[in-house]
Order: sequence, then structure tokens, then C-alpha cells
Amino acid sequence: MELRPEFLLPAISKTLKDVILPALDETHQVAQEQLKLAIGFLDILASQRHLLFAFDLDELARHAEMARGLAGLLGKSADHAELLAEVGQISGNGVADPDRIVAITRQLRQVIVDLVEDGYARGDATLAADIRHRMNEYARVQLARERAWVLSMGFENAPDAVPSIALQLGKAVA
Amino acid sequence: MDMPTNGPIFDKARPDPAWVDQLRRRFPTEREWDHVLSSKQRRRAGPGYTPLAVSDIVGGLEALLRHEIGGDFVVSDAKWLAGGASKLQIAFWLEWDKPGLGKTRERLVLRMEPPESAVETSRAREFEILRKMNGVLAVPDVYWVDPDGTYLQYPALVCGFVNGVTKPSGITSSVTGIGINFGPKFREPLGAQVIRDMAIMHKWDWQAADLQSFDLPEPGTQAVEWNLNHWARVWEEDCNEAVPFVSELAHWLRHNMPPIDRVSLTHNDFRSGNFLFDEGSGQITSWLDWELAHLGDRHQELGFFAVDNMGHMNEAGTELLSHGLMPINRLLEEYEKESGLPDDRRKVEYYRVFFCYRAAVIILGTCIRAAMGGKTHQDLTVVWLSAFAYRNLEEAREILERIG
Repeated sequence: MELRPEFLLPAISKTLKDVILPALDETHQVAQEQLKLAIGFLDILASQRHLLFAFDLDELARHAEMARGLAGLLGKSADHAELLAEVGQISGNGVADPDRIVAITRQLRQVIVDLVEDGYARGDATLAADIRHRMNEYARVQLARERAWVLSMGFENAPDAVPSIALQLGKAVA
Repeated sequence: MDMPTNGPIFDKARPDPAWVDQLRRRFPTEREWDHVLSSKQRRRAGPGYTPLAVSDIVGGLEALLRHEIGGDFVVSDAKWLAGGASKLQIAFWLEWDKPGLGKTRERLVLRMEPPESAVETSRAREFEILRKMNGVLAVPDVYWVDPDGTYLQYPALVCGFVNGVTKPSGITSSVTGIGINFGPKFREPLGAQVIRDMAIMHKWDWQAADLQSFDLPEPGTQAVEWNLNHWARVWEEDCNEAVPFVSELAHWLRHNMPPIDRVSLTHNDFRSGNFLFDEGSGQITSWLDWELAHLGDRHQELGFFAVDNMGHMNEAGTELLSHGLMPINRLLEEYEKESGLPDDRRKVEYYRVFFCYRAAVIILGTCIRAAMGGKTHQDLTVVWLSAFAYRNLEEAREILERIG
């Protein structure tokens, strides 16, 4: 199969930049902006597509670890044993359907929210402090990954201070 | 398909009315906000945004004008107006027999919602507060409203066209005015005017204004709770996937609600990018986007100015300029002097976290949801904005790590 996204995405982007953008009415600001955003998204997809699977696997592992820790803390490990066992199988085999990985991570996100809600509802100050600390540590890593993934979209005041997503995922060296 | 906190898997793109009712009970808020959010849920399963020609919109506009004016009028030179990620805007000329003035030709603006907006708000409330603010602050004159889309394709209002810019010519900025660099020439005079106007707004006697579309909160935390419930409901209704740290922030905000010492009118989006100024005089010519205004805590505004992500460093790289205007400590000191109202730095920090949370709700929740349904006139803009959520969440995370 030759029509692969690794060359089609840059080709579409190039055509939009070289042919369509110059032909667009310069006074139509909404059209100009939407086309530039379309090009921007295509360029991000083209440059980071090869990291997507590693990103998703990393998310799966971290969310499973967080859910496992919280479930253990709250005595609810049995409630999520099946889901976490599937994560274990994926990690052990190193092979999985990419869509299944995303779906499990989504479930784990909700499991974490539910466990945290359960923990806070117990009214135990020590337990709540432990949960807050875990959530902050979890968010520190999660947000570092997310900010790196969208770094090229221009929302960082000091982009050089954000380690690249390739570096964070162990796919590049500093 | 989406998974709610406690319940079966279901489709948020086709919400069950019973599920919406359950959220309404779980997150009680102001009646007008409730009305707007419930209307959005009723429309959710409907069609996406279909490109509208200017002539289609003018047809609806003329129907509204026939109803409101009655006599002869002519609409001409209608054109798309750029700016803003959430509303469709058209500028046009209207010739009409204006009460008290006679034959008049003036330039007006139609602000209309798409099927779903980045922020779902009330045209009725925007119309009312613009009327009330006329003569208090620089705001556009407001003329007519079609609150339920009876005449136009969607709810809309008509207001006066105001000259001015949101940022100096020739300075590049991001899509909605985040991090605007006004440059040294405009920074000082605009900063002083922003503080002056904020103080006027917070001291304005809303109790004498007979606000019909606003609920009047009891002293204490009722207004804070309404506000939190509003955004918690938006998150539940719109988010595509759970984001545990957004839920963590919602929990922290609810358990740290500060009582309000004086209920004020708050614009609720009082920032760079939401005022126009004249590049010749450096004077603010209009405050825009009053759609989120409510009665609450003045610290809400101050907390928004304290959000680092909305500012940028000065030319020397030595100081962060809040919203591109001045360092936050100076802004708070000047505000205290101008208003005579104290600022409580703990409350400022609270509302700093609130704005980071609200930004995440809007851009990770509603923006993604609206674009997934193809509901806006610029889906890519609202998706692009979603990337700004993570910096906001990181700012909130750092605050919580520091203050607990």
C-alpha cells in the first residue's frame, strides 16, 4: 500500500500552502484563519504521527498505575481487577489494538475520577491529603506530556523550557 | 459513546432528557444559565452548522426589524465581521426613522449564536446588561434582541458598531487575544483605564437597576456555588473523556469557597481582547462580550488578572505583565486605591484557580464537543484553543501544590 499518511499528510499541507492559500481572498479573514489552522493541524499530525502509539501506551501505563494505587488505598482493587488485568496483558505482550488501548485508558480515567470521589466522600482528612498528593503528582506528569504534545501550537511563553514529547517518551535523547 | 460518573454507557451527542434533569438537580444554578444550558442539550442531537450566506442572515434580520421598527428601513452593505471564536457577527448599515432623531443611517452589528458555541450564553442577559451599562461604562449601544431565534436562524442581538481595535496594528497575537502585547506606548494608559472601569463596575449599584434576567444571590457563598455548579454541569454535559485533574479542581474549588463580602456586578470575562481602544487617543472605546456577566465576587475579576497564562514578559524580560498591562501586584494595589475596596490575596488565588478550571471546562469540554458535532462556524479555531487548556491546568496544579 503506497498511499500512506506519512507522505500524504505533508503533500496535502504543501498543496494547501502553495496553491490554495495564495488563491484565497486576502480580505476574507475567517477563511484565511481556518485554512491556516487546517495546515497547522496537518503539520502536527505529520510530524508527530510516529509518536502516537508510544504516547497512548505511556498514557495507558500511567493511568493503570494511578488507578491501581488508588484502588489499593481505598480497598477497591477487586472492583477493577479485570480491567487492570487486561492492561497487564497488553504491557506483558507489548502488542494490542491501538483503538483498544485508547478505550481502556478512557475507562481508567473515569475509574480514577470515581475512586477519588469515593475517597473524598469518606471524610478522612489524612486519606484526603494522600489522595490530593497523588493527584498532583499524577497531573504533573500527565500535563507535561500534554503540553509537549501540543507545543507547536504556540501557547507556551517559554517553549524551550518544555521537554519535547519524544524525549519524554524515551524516543529521543537530550 | 461516553461514560457518566455513575451509570450506564450512553451517548452525550443524543442526551436523554432524564439525564439532563438529573444534572439540573445535581447542579442548581441561576435560572437564566439553567435555561441556556437546557436549551443547548435539546439542540444537541440536531444538525450541525450549515454555512449561511450573508443574504440568508439579512433575511432574518429584516424580519426582526419589521417586527421591532414597523416603519420603512433599508439594510445595506452587510459583511462578515472577524473576531471572536464563539459568535457569528455581521456588520451592516441601517437607514431608518430613529425615534427622536428622524431619518438616520448608522452602522450596526448583528451578533448571532451558531448551533453550539464555545461558550453557551444568554442573548437576553447580554442585551439587558448592555442596556444597563450604557452611560456607566463604554459599551456598544444595544437595539434589539431575538432571544430564542424567532426571526433569525439562531438567537441574536443587534448593537451599535464601535470603532477601535483589540490590539495595536501590526502586532501578532494568538487567535482570541490571549497574551496580547499592547507595546510600551499603550500599556500604561490602557492599564489605568482598565482599573478605572473595573472599579466603576464593581461599585455600580446593581440593586437599583432591577435586573430581570439575573438571580440575586444571598450574602455568603450562594453566588460562588451557582457559578461552580454552572461550570460543573457544563463539564458533565460536554466532556468527551474524563480528565481526572479537572474533577480534582472542581472538588478543591467547592471545598474552599470564599464567602463574598460585597456582591458586585462582575463581567466575568474582563480581559485584554474584550475591549476596543482607539489607536489615536489610546482611549478605550467599548467593553465587549458581557454575556457571562453575573452578580458575584469582585475577586473573580482580580483573579483572572492574576492568571500568569494571560500575560507576557516585558521587553526587558524582567516582569510578567498581567494581561499585557502591568505586573499583578501593581494592578491590585492600583485597584484598591481606585475602588476603595480591599483585595484579599487568598481570594485572588482562589479565583486564579477558578479561571484555570473554567478555561479547561470550556476548551477541553465544550470546544471539543462542539467541533465533534460540527456545530460552529469555525470548528478548527475552537479545537485549536483546546491546546491552551494544559497550561492553565498546570498553573492551577502549581498553585494547589503550593497552598494545598
